[in-house]
Amino acid sequence: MIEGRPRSLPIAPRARPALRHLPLADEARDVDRVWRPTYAVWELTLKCDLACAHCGSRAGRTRPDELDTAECLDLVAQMAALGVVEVSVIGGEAYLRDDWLTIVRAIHDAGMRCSMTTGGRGITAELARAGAEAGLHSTSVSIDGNEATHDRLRGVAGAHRSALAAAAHLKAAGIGLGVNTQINRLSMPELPEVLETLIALGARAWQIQLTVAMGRAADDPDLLLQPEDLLELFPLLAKLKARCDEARVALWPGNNVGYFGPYESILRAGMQRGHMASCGAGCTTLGIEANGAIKGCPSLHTVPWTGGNIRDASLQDIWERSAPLRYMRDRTVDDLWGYCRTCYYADVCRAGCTWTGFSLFGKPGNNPLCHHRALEMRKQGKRERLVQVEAPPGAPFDHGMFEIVVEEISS
Amino acid sequence: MSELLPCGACGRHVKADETACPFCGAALSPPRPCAGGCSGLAAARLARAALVAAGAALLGAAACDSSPSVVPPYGVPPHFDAGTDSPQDGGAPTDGSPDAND
Repeated sequence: MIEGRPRSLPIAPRARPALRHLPLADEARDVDRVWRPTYAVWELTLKCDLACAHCGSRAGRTRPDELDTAECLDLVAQMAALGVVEVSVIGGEAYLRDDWLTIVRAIHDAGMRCSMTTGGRGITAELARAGAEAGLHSTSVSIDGNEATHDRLRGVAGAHRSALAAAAHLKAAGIGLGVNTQINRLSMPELPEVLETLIALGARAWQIQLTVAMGRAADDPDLLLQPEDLLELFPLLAKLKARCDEARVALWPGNNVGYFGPYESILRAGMQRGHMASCGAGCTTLGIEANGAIKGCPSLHTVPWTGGNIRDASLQDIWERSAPLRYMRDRTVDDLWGYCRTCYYADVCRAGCTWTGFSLFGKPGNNPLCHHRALEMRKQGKRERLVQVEAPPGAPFDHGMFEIVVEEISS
Repeated sequence: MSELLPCGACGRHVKADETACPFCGAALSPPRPCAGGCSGLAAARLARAALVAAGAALLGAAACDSSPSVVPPYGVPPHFDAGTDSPQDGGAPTDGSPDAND
């Protein structure tokens, strides 16, 4: 049993104020100008109306220093100037900000596509119509299992029903509808059921991702998949991909679903290379916290991955000159460790999802949640098991510490 | 960065200069030029991918495009067209990021 913070309260801790006045390099390099963020994910507020058991940001309460409307509109203009094509607004719940429609409209009017990821609890028919009118292009509603599992994971009774209702409202309003699903030990057996649900809703896309050991998810490590579970998951995903194709639903594996096992060509058939290509943080992806903190990926931990704050420097300067945003531009095989360092795919994969590995070990460069790796281990009669050795402290975007135990597979 | 192509026998991605699949041992055909002007390695992907049961058509369609893959963060595929039946692959230059447990 891990000694540490009690598992119960606080569900939604107060976030600390933003890191300010972080150092920037004197000059941008050529490589920093080559990479441009095409996709921005923007936490409009940390306020949330759900209490998800897997929430990495421990959302619930508004940050003490969230951007005001004028600052948000200025950031919209800076994103457009930097070449962002699409902005996904998230939270918490984006729609809990009073001015969220003003921001959506500004994104649309600046020529960028605006999408939203939502648990959907507060989305009424009227709100959906208002979103469409403001220019909301598409939404992804979170559905994590059947009713009982979803409500348990989302922490609110009735969350499943409200998510389904939200999906119907959004579709009726003419907003593109997708669904996203967390994969963990509770939801994995119910993935076929989730797929049939989203097909019935008329969703056109399904994004799946492994639950990562960050925030509340790290409070309950039994919820998380073990590397060996991927040996069961990936054949299931391949079967579900066939059903998706039949129902004309685009299956989109998130960047921590991988890597390079026998089903990679199937699961990523619709992507231009036909396989994943490492982490896009700070290369094409931009993450923004509600207080103006700029990261290469919205999922990455506030510390150490914040490159700067929009109140202190321009978006372009933070993008081009901050060390955390440069990290993936510069990462090589020499930055990897453990199994990933010696892997056949090391120079392409580069340990896959930075967020997933960092959440486990407090440093990037090694990621045991990999199908290829689990297969290679099994070939040697072994398996890896993740054991939590340090509980997370209980702050937004925090993590605990895990160790890898390599075991012989008994008969 | 290595260019990877799917093995026609087992579907695993292998380095383009391999002559045999390191996973299943199948012989791999050497790269050959593509009439569409893409690299020989990409052409080889076409040939091999045709043998992979699922997804072969989509892989082939993308084989001449040198842009890397796109992975949509947060559940909405990039260039998701609300008015059509399926999302379209976009032109962003690399994979996206993962999804926060949001």
